[in-house]
Amino acid sequence: MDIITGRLPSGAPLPAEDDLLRRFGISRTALRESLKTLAAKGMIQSKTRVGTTVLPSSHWNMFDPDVMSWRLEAGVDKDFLRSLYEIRFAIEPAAAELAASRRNEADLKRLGAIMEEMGASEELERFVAMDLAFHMAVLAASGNPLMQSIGSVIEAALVTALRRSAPYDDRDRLAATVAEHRAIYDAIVAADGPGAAEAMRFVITEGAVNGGVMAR
Amino acid sequence: MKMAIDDSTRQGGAGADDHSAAASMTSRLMGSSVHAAIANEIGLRIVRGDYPPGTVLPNEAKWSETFNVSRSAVREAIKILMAKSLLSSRPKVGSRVEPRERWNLFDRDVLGWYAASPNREGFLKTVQELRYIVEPEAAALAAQRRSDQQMKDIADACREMVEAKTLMVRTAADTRFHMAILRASGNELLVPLGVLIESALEQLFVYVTREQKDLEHAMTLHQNIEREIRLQRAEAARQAVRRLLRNTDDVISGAAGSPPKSAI
Repeated sequence: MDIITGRLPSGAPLPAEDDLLRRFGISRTALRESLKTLAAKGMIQSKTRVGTTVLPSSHWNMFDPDVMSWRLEAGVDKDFLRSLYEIRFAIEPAAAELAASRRNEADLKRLGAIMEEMGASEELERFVAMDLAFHMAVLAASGNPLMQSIGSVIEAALVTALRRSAPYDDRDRLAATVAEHRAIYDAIVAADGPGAAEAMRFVITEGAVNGGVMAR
Repeated sequence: MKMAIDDSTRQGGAGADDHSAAASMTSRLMGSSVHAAIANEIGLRIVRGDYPPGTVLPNEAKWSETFNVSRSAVREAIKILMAKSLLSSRPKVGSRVEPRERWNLFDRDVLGWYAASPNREGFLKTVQELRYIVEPEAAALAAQRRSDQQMKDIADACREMVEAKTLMVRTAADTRFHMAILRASGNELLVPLGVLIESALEQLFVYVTREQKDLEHAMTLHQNIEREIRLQRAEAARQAVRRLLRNTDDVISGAAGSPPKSAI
């Protein structure tokens, strides 16, 4: 966490092993295993004679679920949200377009069920869960397993973003959000690729605006 | 400029000899530790479908016997595969193969196993499809955001491609070129996708023609991308990347069904 929050900045040496042992009260073996794990996640690097240093965030394996959840725990800043929405704009409309032509019966059934639940959601967490499930289902229906993998990775980040952007206090806007998602669903059912992409872009834009990431 | 082709040092190439490909990949990917080599062997078998998702793997003792290694080496290997989300382990059940959608596809080793498996061509198409979606956007962002140092990294890699004396050196510079663009995009979530590009370029190595004019054409396409990013023209950078990727796809489909072109 110290690394993520920047208390230990990039380039800084890690505190001495003994200091870390004292601070966390763990065994030397446990500490060494932890450091091995952090190195595997791209957060620190050990070099002989130099010692162990913190690596800049560009080296962190953001696609590691631990790194992602630590990042979210540390607080989601504007830059992170902007990055998230950028990648969503790049990937999700394209996924929707592919889904429109590649979707099978199972995909349609699942999307339909999610839409029903979304419309019937009475409280925020349920709504956000359905919103997330919808976007993940579209990625799955794209027929490209890498899309799905990306989805799994940004899932945690997506939940954070969706929670912020759900217009929950406003009944009308909530209904509008459901309708906007339904437009994506309808286009996929109708095998309308460009329409699905357009509808998805609209939904993501609304999310970015409601979440304060973009100006209207 | 004539290029000397150094096929003898090609790594993990496709073609008839999958076994030696796997063997060379073992030493390249994992270094020399026993448990890493075992992880490689089991990982390869899982990815190519020998043990479908949902099935339980043979137990530790069986693997230990099959590969003639210690059970603790097998245990370490299983831990590695669990970290890549290929396996889940439960007491009394053993190690079960996870559903494919859970696998960590952004892992260099997992990508390498796909590259060595019979479904490598289908997977390459999947990777190219994702590249076509993501890389043009990354280039557009890079055109807008790149720092002077990042621009220098892109330009240096481009020049190294031109000056490369072997295809292997050129491919390494090509990878650095694309990675530099991803970093210049300023989006920390795009950067990890670089591992896909690396894997794709390694696999594409097989398809790359040694013919001079095709090499020059591909080089020009790279230089166009570099120029548009330098001139900070986002839309033009986007289009330039699309042209390069379409050219790559043409090369792949043009070579479909025929063996890789032989060395000069």
